[in-house]
Amino acid sequence: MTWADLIDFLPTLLHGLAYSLGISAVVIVFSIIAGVCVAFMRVSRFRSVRGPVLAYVEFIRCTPALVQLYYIFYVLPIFGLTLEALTAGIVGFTIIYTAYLSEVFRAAINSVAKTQIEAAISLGMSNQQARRLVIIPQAARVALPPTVNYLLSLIKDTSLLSIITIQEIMFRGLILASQTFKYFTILTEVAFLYFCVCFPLTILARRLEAKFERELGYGKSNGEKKKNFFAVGPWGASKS
Amino acid sequence: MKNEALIHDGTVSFKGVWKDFGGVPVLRGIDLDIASGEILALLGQSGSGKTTLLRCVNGLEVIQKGTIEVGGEFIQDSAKGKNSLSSDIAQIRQSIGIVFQQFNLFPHMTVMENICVAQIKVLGRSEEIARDRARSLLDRVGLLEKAESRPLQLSGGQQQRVAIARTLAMDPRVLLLDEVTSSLDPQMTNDVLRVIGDVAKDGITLIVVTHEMGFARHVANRAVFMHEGVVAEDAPAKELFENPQNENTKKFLAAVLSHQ
Repeated sequence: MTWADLIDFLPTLLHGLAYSLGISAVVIVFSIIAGVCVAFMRVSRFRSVRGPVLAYVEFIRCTPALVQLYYIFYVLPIFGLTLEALTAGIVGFTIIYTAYLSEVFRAAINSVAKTQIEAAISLGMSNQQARRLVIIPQAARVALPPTVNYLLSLIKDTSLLSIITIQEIMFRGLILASQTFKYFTILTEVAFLYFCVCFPLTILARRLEAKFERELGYGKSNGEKKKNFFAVGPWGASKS
Repeated sequence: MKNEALIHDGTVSFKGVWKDFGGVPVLRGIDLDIASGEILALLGQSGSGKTTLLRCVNGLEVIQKGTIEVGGEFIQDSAKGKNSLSSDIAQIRQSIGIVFQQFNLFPHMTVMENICVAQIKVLGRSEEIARDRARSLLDRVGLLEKAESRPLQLSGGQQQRVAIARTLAMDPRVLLLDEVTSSLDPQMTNDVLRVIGDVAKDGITLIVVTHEMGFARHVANRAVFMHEGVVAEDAPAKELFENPQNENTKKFLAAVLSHQ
């Protein structure tokens, strides 16, 4: 591994990294919006709403992302739905991360103590006002740190998109490596670049968590608050 | 004003109120008429149904039989079927304040925001008017300097006084107090009781569930003793404390007073 090599490969890899981050940004925004909707459907009073949504979430959580991506890119065209690689990647990951994030948001909504809702409606608020003014602001604070953690795992997961020919960092790294045979140098550099992006996010998540715990009193054992436990991590880490 | 108040006086009337939790009866036919401005102490052992009865008044608990009227408006009417709650429940609740044992302030808002949010969003007051009202109430409960604090930076007693101010800001006709001092130490309890004693002079109907017998006796003008989901004794407060008639009331008072 030489400095000259590292510097040589850097522009190509950075270009790929920009791709990875751009896709991640788009996906996380879509997934947050869709995830909030799905989460509220999961806590709906109506079984006909809860049921299908639960089926979707569980199906996604219980099948590998790699299989899902292949499916969208290679199987759907058989049924006449051909998506361009980039679209397929964004659609695929949005479907996947909506499912994951909806679980985070559902837990966050449920973590807002029932007594908070009682206090809100007792002041004459409608259910909708209670949701908007009391539940969502608190749930958002609870959900933000795990959402940052999911963003982190999303950024890493975009490396899977190399298999559907998207020119993100891993794809470009593999191409370079196969041309130069400098696997050691290139894969080390790829890993290092991922690390440089992801490590600050872990710190951010930890800080946010501490801040909101202090603000909302979550995690304090004052007995009045429902104690919350959040399983956070990439899939497969036995969260559920 | 965004919403006109629906009710204009503080009468509360229970007729044949029955409530059970999963088949276990908690209220077994309560008939009770409370006049506007009356200060009623609801007494009884744990499990006698007093907190449940209180929570029925603003519809936090749904009854299975009977009716509850506040200010002449039906808040619950079991004749309506499974959901007995009035369709105007949100509007009626504006005029019924409740203070909880655990304060239930909104932790993501400052003290000031806690007191202003419903004034602005529910009553449609301007921010300026709401803040003025909040400041005068905070002054009244002795916490003006805490306006910009977060609830969790305050002691329990301070939080409870903020909760009282938050409720009073809505200008309720009826105020429900659910064991508001039960999670406080004696010093804080005194601070909160002083505030309530002051509120009692306002002419709002007060229904107070409490274990502070001295306070109940001092502030209330009527006392109701509940036993196993029914009204066992209903008398002017002074009489009920000095000359209880019901056997269960006697036992209860003897037990608590020997403790205090």
